[in-house]
Amino acid sequence: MTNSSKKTVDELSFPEDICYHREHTWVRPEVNIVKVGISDYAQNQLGDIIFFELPSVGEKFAQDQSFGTVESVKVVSTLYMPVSGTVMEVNGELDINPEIANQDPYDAGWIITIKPDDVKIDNLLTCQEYIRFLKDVE
Amino acid sequence: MRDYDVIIVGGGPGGYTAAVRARQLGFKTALVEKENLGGTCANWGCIPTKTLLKNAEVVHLLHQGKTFGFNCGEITLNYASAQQRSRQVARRQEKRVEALLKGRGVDIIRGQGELTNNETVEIKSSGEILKARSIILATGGKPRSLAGIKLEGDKIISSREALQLIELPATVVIVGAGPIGLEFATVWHRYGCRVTVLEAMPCVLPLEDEEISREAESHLTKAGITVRTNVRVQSLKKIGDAVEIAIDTAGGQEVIVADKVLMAVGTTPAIDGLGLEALGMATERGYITIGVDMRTSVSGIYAIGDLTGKLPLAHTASAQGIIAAEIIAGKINPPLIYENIPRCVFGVIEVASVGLTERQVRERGLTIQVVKSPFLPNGKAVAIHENTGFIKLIADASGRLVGVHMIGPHVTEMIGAAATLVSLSITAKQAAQVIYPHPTLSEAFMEGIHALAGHAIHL
Repeated sequence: MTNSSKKTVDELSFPEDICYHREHTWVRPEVNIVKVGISDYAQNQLGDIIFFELPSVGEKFAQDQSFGTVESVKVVSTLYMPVSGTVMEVNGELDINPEIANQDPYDAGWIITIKPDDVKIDNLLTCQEYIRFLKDVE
Repeated sequence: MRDYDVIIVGGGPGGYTAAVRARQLGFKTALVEKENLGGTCANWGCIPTKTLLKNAEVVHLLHQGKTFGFNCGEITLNYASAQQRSRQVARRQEKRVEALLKGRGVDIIRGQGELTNNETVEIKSSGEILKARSIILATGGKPRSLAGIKLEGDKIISSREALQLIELPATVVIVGAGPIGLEFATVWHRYGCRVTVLEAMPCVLPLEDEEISREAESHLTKAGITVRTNVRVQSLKKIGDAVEIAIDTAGGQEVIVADKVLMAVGTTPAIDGLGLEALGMATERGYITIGVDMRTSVSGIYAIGDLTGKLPLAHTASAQGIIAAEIIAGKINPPLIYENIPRCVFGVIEVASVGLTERQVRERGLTIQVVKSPFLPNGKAVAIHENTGFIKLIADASGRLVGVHMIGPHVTEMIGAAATLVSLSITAKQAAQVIYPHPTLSEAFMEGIHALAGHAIHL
């Protein structure tokens, strides 16, 4: 399990090659699909994650719509779609070891993959824009 | 070798509560757990069964479209999915316990612990040695069977295997009409299984007040569960895919057949492998003997929870765990009054009680006042279509509440208020000054209080 003390934005990591949503999910385009997870900021705020409530493969959601929840020892948070699309895969590992999302939020801790309705990601934030957004909130 | 102030063996509700309290008191604390944190409660008892019961309650509601204004046609039940949810909930609660312990700075040591002397715990799998001035044993209990009947885990099962069933048999016999037996009876009956409950005593829930037991039995029977009391199980025999149960009844011997048999006749303390015999620890009928301070007969060693055989409930273990930690810290506590610990039963109808039964009070020769406050006229109960059951209140000559027994909707959530009054020795006249909100089921309790105080409005 993670060290549950809060880190500052500067101490967290935000890969440059992905896009970020204001509700703290990230999107990484892969071949034909995009991969989605929660940011290092989100997992740090949540603390030890104990459960994900996730959709089924084939379900469709619009951008900004809730597609599930993540429960930590302290709180339950809503997960918001960073792009519109259809759920293609759900990370089964999170069912057994939800804390992977704390330990490795950008890789092994991925949550779902989506077939996007269109590849419009211009209303998402770049790494620098997300960091600035977080610092304003901090 | 690692040195601690306190080592706790067992991470169930008793153990982890003791560990958290020990840390609050400034002790360097280790907790040894050989299986899952949260113990029987989170993993093989309280939590998964309440999850299944909620699922069963929803199934039950789905059959009541005529009453509640809907029509959903043919309902397909999916027990496997209900069971999966119960395992998921158990895992979440297990993780909560882990996070709690880590957050409070308790060292969690995984493995089976054996006491090599009164200050040392050896972890069998790793050979690790832990030392502490004080050791709290909290390894709990495990399901037991009747003499001569082996729990082979497939056709003859305990609650542990019962919680792992993904598919229900067509017919099942449950031996034991205590709280555990009745929970499984409710869930499985609602999921389509034909259930027969056998009880050796003259009534179901033999530890509850007799009027409560009779009312509970009538609800089980009305729900379609076959209940047979005054029945002793002689033997079980596997015949092909089924089990033959030979029973002794008032009318003679009989044989009944079922696909599976659930033995729900109680638990036995889990003391295997702890090394207690070599330490010469005093036990009574297998349970570890403890004083009011949770001390065992071996200096420096305490025991709590199901190991002690004192009202084997999770919240008893937690209360004992707090006391043990505080005793180690040199605090003096008033003794735990086990009778004032509330007991709950979940199922087709809920039961909750605290204090003495009417029989126990009369056996003590106390002059008492008894009132019954039914849910029948209660507005909220009628509105939710569950105006059934009652609350029985017993007061002594001075008007102090000595027993409260409830059967009806959501009574398990109401017993806390009654436990407060009983534990604090509040009289009915004092309690009658408290106003309860309307419309709630809890007003039935308030009516009972007013009746004891001599001025019931609605009764």
